[in-house]
Amino acid sequence: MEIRLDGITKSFAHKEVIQNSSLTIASGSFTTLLGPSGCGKTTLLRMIAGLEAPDTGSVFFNDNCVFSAEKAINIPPEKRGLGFVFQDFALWPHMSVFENVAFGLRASHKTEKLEEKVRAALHAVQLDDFAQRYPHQLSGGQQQRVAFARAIVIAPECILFDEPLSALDALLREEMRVELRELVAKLGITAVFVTHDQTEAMSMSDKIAVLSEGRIEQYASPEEIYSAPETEFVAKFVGSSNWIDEHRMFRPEKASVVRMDGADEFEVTVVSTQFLGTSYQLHTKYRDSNWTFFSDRRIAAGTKLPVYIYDQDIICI
Amino acid sequence: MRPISLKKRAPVLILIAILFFLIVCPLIMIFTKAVIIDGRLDFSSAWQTLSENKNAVMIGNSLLLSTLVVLLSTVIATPLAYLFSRTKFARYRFFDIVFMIPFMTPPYIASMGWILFVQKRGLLQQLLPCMEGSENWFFTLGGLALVMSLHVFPFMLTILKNAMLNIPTSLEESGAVFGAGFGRRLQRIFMPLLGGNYAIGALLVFVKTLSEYGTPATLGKRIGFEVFTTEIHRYATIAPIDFGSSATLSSVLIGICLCMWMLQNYITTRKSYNLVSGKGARSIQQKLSAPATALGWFFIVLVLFVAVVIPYFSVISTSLIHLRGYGFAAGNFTLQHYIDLFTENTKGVSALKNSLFLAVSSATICAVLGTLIVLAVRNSKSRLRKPLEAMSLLPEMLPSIVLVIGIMLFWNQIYKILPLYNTLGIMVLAYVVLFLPYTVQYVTSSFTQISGSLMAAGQVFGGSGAYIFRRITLPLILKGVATGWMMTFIIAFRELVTASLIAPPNTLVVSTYIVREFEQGSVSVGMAMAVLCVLFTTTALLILNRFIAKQKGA
Repeated sequence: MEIRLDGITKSFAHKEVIQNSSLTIASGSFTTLLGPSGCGKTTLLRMIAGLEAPDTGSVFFNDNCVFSAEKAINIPPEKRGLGFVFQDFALWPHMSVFENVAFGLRASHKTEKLEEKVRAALHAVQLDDFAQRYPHQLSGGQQQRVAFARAIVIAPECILFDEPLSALDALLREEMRVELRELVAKLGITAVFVTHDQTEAMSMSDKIAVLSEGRIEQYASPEEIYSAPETEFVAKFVGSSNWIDEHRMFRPEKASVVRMDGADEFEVTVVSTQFLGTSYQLHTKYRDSNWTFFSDRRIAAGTKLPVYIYDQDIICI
Repeated sequence: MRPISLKKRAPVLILIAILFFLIVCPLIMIFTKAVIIDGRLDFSSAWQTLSENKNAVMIGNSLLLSTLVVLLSTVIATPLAYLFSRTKFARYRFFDIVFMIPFMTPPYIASMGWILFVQKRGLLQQLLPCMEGSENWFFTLGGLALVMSLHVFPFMLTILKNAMLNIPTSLEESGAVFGAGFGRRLQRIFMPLLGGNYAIGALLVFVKTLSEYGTPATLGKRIGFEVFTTEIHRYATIAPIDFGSSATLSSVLIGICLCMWMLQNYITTRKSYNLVSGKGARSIQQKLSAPATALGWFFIVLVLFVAVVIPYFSVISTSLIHLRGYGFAAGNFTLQHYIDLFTENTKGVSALKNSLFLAVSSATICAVLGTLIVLAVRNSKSRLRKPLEAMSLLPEMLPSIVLVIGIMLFWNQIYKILPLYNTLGIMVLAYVVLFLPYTVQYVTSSFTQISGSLMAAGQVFGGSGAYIFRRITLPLILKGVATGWMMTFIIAFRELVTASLIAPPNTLVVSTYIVREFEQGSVSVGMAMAVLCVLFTTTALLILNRFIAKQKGA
């Protein structure tokens, strides 16, 4: 299902949280809304779900208008037929896992083959034996899976994820990242994923929309976002950046302490060296800015050092 | 801003209208009764009432008594709060429940227990003849303040204990690291951090004492110590009935209470510190030496003995003694009073029936109305939701007696339109007004524990408004509703001041039955009823606890 946002704005108490934004999410793609907290990414997601109404603009699912401020159309969330995985999982504590998953089917009176469908969803997330448990009897990862099963059981054309991995510990987060991506790919549905974690965004997405202060800064593939950031914010928020001057920067892995023919040479002063296991990370000073990049050996603080960067690796913004 | 449709606003507006009629109208009635005479604004009569010498003395008495009770309950509660928060005594969680007993005991029953215990030829002097004359020091202002303190100190204990638990040990430890000794830490760190909470507790105790009717009506009457509540009651019930004076005194009492609440609000915002951070605060226990431990045990046992054992011992033994003149002698014990309660005449049984009816009906109405109010407040974006919530909580801030006087005056006034006065109906109505805040608070607190995303999830997964309410909201707030229902039931079952003011003629409830038997009938039968009343409400409370423990999840 293609999702199209057109000229959306939203203010809360006179503060503009979404500035005029348009975005088209391709059918079957995995799209991430990435940005720091308070950038409006969750608000945008809730608008797609219908939990929040934009002040202006319209929202289309394929060619169906589900929201239009102009035409006063606002299809309520319960009629939009989307799956949603909440940040805190939002499992109903008074219902068993089975009933949590079955809720969407019961609420929309799709009770035909209910048992079978619920079992299948639980099977997909490997929770076959947990149907009669209650949410508080499950671990964080299991709760996460129930929330996902609840979203897929209604066979939605699109699932929205609101920072679903942020409540998990680091190890589990990495596992679930792979698992979630696989499941979504298997189902072949559209996924919109909200996160503030760039690693999550980079590793899972087909496309990333980077948001800052209610504005979409750039909407592109992860590779483009990293190697060709369009704005200073994107360059600084995604990956680390070393600034040559106000408009030119390069990524750490592009710099070399070994002489390279045809590369530009810069002289830096080493501030400190950190051993990372596979390499050494150098913290250096170039004029007024701090650069970090990698080296194969420790270099004493205060050493003046030439650094080589190919011209095509320098990104101009 | 899109205009909010009338349909969305209707629930809030209807509820505001109901509460205005039930709560605000009676209060307005009090003020008008006090200062409008023969249709003209006239302060002279109100001034006359207030300048009467005995009323001036009474106001002084009330303030003096409340101050004494604050001091005395501080003395009782502070060491206990320290023991239960910062020492090994904190382990014994069952004290949390035991120390709530005095607070859960109806004050009029506790003070009757004390009277029976200490009065001339009472239980104490029968057990220890050497205590003859002890009644002379007990039937004084000091005795009255003691009995009232023993009722309210658990309140102060809870507030202080929680405040002490919330002071992270690290703050004290950092004081120690930077060279402050125990005394200095107490003075410079511990006390300033507690100050705000203590002030709040003290004000609450002050207002509660000022509003209390049960103890002054039973024990205070014996020593001729009149306070606000007893005077308001007297003007409204004993010939020559003078509603004007009653209303004037009520207005003054409302004024004092509101000032206290404002002061409390000021202190809460200005002088209390937010000490609860997300980080888990370690609490380290103060080590107690063997003598200190013994002293701690001694204090705990002493307070329990005085606050729980003595009143219950008196009430229970009086209900079981055949002839009180013979005292504790073998063969002088009987269950006859309990049998008399049900067989002697129909009054006891009908009092029980009335109380049961009032408790069930008012608890049920409160549960429905209170839940509707909370739902309206939570789901509406209307600007009127704040006033609605404030109105629903207003009865808790004011002394019951004042509201009841207002209800009397107001429903008297509109008797020709709505002839509810002098029926059991007016009692149900008064109970609902008085106890509505319980349901509102319990349901609100269960609401705040529900993450908003639970409802949002219901919406996203296809639930309509009614479906979400039935499947998600209601099951999740049911605990709050049930707790509110049970608390209302328990408190309504033994409510005294309302019943003694507006019960229709010849209609007795449990509390008025006990008071009547105590004052002019068979004391033992009265105490038998008191025992039944406490047993019954305690059982209800235990059932409630069981019910809450059984609730799954959350």
